[in-house]
Amino acid sequence: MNQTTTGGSPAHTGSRGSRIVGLLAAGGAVALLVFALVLSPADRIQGEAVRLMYLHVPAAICMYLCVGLLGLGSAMWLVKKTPGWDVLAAAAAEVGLVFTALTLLTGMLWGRPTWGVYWVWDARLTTTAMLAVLLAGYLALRRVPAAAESRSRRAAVAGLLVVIDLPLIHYSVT
Amino acid sequence: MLADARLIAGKDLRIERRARVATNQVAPFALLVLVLFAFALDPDRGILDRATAGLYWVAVLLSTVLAVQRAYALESTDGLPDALRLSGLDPAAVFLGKTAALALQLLVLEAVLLAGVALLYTTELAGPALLAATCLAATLGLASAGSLYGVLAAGLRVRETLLPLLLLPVVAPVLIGATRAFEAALAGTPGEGWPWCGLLAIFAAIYVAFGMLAFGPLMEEL
Repeated sequence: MNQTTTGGSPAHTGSRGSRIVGLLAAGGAVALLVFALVLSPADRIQGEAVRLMYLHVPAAICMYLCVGLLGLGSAMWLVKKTPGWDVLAAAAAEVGLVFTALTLLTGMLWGRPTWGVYWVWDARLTTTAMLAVLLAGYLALRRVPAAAESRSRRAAVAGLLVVIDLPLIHYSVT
Repeated sequence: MLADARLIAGKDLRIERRARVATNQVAPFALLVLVLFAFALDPDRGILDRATAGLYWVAVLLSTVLAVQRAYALESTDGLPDALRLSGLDPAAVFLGKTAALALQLLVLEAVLLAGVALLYTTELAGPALLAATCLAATLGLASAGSLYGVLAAGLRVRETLLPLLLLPVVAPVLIGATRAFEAALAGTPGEGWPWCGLLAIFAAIYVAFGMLAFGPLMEEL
């Protein structure tokens, strides 16, 4: 993503460490797919549909991780006011929305053969759907043209609110 | 700080009393929503009766968006943002004042809407204590979240379209909690509604506290 280079921050987030982590992640993803789609047997009850779980569960874990990073980046920006934390929050929200969508999509595809329907108004499903809307709203706020610091400030508060609201939504739909 | 908050709330309410936007536009809009629900849900088949609590709170939520937009449209003209920043008022007090003014307007609106559902949907208003407590707690939550997101979107050119997208998912717990509490009250089993009322109070407490902390930095953006 484009980022400003004010305040002596690096122009990119690439570093030797991040490249190593990236390579490990790419290797891990390949290994996951080989095990999930080829090497593992079909489930006795769920049949081939169980293979969706090998994608669904890691996607959900990444989704929660991204929400945590969004909260961390937003809170730290409010404390330190350095662009790096804002970039972290923005990237976490973007990646988080992708994983939220992936979690919902694989969950629905799994739900159709297993439960007979694509969607039930269950607490976890509803909370995840609301998270997708909250992240979309956060990203929409970020896309509004504004001065860099002004945008960062709004985004930091909005990002924290996403994290604060999530348990309230979860509790209210349970 | 409370004196400052009273000053801001008094100012907003005085402007509303003179401009009458809330009484001439927001309240009629809310009643219109109730009428539209009745058209959509065929009043003869008893659906309205079962859905009253949900429809009531959806109408309140939609009106809240209008009221929040109005509350910050007041501050955005004639160099008022600068005046507010230079006034030396504590940002937390400004937040409390805006929230209080908004909450008071919403409470009046909710009373009008309650009369509306009682008349139009022939709903019997059982469990008045729970109804009143739910309205109070939900309104405080809506007003504090509304004030916070209102100022977040205030200085932006796209605020009219952005505010509903930001605010409505965030206040979803209020819609759910208030609807469940109302359903319990109207069904004559208020015991089941009080825990929901507690959730609404927690929501309100969190947003009031967060708003008092976050309003300072956001006032720069007004």
